[in-house]
Amino acid sequence: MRVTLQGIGKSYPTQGGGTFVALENVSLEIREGEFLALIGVSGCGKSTLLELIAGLQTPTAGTIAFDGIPHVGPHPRVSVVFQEDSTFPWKTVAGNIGFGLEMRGADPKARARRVEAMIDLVGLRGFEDRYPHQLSGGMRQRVAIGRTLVLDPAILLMDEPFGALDEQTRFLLGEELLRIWRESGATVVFVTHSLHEAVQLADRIAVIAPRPGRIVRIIDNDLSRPRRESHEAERYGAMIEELRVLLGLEGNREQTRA
Amino acid sequence: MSRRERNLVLARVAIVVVAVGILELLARLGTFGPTLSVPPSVMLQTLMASLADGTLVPDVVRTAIEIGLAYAIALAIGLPLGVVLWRSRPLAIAVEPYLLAYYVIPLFAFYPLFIKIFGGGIAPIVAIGVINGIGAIAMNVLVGLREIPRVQLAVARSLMLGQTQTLLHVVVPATIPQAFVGIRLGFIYSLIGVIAAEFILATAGVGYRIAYDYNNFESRSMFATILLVLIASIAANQALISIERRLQRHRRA
Amino acid sequence: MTRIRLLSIVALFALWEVLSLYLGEDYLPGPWLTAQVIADGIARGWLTRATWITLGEVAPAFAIAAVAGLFFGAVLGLSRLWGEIMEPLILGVYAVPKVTLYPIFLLVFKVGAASKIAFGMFHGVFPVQIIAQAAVAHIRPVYLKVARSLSLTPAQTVLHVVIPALVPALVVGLRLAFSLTFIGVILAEIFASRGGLGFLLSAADQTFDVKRVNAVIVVLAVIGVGVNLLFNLAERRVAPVRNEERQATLAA
Ligand SMILES: Nc1ncnc2c1ncn2[C@@H]1O[C@H](COP(=O)(O)OP(=O)(O)O)[C@@H](O)[C@H]1O
Ligand SMILES: [Mg+2]
Repeated sequence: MRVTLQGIGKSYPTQGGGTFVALENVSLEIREGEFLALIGVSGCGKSTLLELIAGLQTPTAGTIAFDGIPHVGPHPRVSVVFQEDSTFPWKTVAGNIGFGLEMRGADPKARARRVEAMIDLVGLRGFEDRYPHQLSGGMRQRVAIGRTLVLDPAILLMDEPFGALDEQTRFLLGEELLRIWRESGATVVFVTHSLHEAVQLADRIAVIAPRPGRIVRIIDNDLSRPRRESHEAERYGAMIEELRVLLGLEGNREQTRA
Repeated sequence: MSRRERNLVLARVAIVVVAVGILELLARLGTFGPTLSVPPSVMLQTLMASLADGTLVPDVVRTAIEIGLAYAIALAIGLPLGVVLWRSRPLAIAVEPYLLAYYVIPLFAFYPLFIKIFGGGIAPIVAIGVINGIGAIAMNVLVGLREIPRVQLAVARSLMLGQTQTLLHVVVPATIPQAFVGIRLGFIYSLIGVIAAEFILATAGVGYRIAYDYNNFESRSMFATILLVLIASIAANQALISIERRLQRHRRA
Repeated sequence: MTRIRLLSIVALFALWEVLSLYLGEDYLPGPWLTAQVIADGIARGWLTRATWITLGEVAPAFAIAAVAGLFFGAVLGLSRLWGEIMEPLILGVYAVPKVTLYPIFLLVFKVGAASKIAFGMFHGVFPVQIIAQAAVAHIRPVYLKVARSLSLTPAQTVLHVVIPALVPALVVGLRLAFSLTFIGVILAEIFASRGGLGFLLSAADQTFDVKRVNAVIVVLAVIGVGVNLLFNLAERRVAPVRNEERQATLAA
């Protein structure tokens, strides 16, 4: 499914009676089946943009259309994975993964089958009867991913889904996500503030600048997959460098290298 | 104080004023019948009068002494008890069920026993105040100590702090906010224990005066004394809460 | 662990026995004598009758306290503004020795079951209200986001997300509410009543019948601790994660 953002703006009223502009005039065409990364410094409006697409917030300006049809509110073919732990502590791994299907009234047998398959897909075989508090952070995030994927979404929105995880788990889950994305054919919109994560995962990288939040550049990433820094070191490095400049991180670079 | 906080306080004051105003009006109209229709203004006048002419003063003094004693003893036992339970795992396992069962039994039931152990006078009343306070104090100290982040103790060790230094500069500051919850609740519970014990069991003190006035149909002075108890306990609680806020200011949420 | 706990129970009875030997059985009847008195109370019915009267008052008082507490807790938890305005006022009332207000209940409801139930309810309603309000106000926003992104109906959201998220806190609140309701009813019975365990206690005390006093204390302890254990079991089932912290801060 294709998503069209047309002149999206979002502002919040402030305590003093003014308005705070979180996003201004964001126009973007998200292509069917692509892997799009949204990157920007903390507080630039990434989560806001994602929640607007998810229909969890309503824009104060502009329209959102799915396959050309304008839409307001949550869309049944759009699923979200949140940055924070969003698993339900009162449900087992299997119960969590099957939650959306259960709520949509899926036939119990079909549901059980799909949950089973999903448990394998996200690598939680053997943990299906555990509760979230008995799992590591990475496993809980797999549960959350499984809970959204099992709904077979046409669009998968992910808000820094690996943000709370260590480098290794991040890498492994990133690889798995790419596999799942290829197999499912879903459109993925992936929020991150990690340059490497964006370059390793995405087809296109939309760079968001803060105050007010706006898209300053969309970079096409045609590095061949699987991507490693060592494969096309020069182009990989150049892309990271370009993102660094766009994000205004140049000044810090000297310090980190020194 | 931010403008929002000030408005919240104003709203609360407004609610109390309106509630008291309605009560005043209804009481003046005699809505609740002859015994219950005591307007708050009359309660206050009666209270002032009985404090001024000294009729209530001995009871107030007595109750204050009982609460002070009970609270001091409860602290003297409860604080070290929390520390001891923290240091000794087996003891904690043995005592914890009692601490949790602490407030589920009406402790006043032990009053006859206390009279036998301590004799008459204020001792048995104080004893009820003490046991009512100890549980909350010990339990919150224990929780506070248990929740000292391990990394803070590790820092102390890596800096090779001595035992006293560790205690003084790491353990105590890390525990104070939670321990103070116990120190505050301990006071409230001691106060509740003492006044309630006086109310049902004693022959003197503020609590007793309320019971006495009730039994003798003196509803004016009964309501006056109830008003005193309300004002005193709410004021004490408020003062302790504001100290607690200050102590917890540096805490992450 | 269980061995230590068993030992501690043995130690408690030993202490009781020693104390009763020291003070004399006429002052403090020991465990064995007390057990005999309880057996007599059950056989002849005076103890069971009083227990049923008390429980018959505690049950409706607790039910009303639970429903009212949950309702007002939910309402104030949902409205951030009203919650913030009312919270200190409610905590203030919670800090008052509530038994001193019992005469007002007596004047309104007269001596009898109604005044005891009303007072028991008043004595127990606060912890449920306070805990429910905090739980509703602090329910993790991401749970509600999940519900909305799945386009759940309001009924589904409440039934499958909000209530399960609140259950652990509510069990704690209900447990505290039971204890306080129970204590409130006993206090009321001690002060002015013609039946129930509290009445039995004060009557026995006035006639210097220490054996009965002890028997009643034991029954009170068994009810209080027993019901608490049930709640603890329920808590462990619905909330596998420990919430010791909440218990300590809000104990009683
Ligand atoms: N509900 C809200 N009310 C007011 N300001 C908000 C609200 N939500 C987000 N903001 C502000 O909008 C900006 C963008 O927030 P967010 O989208 O969460 O940033 P990011 O996800 O990129 O870190 C931030 O400055 C944040 O403070
Ligand atoms: Mg964000």
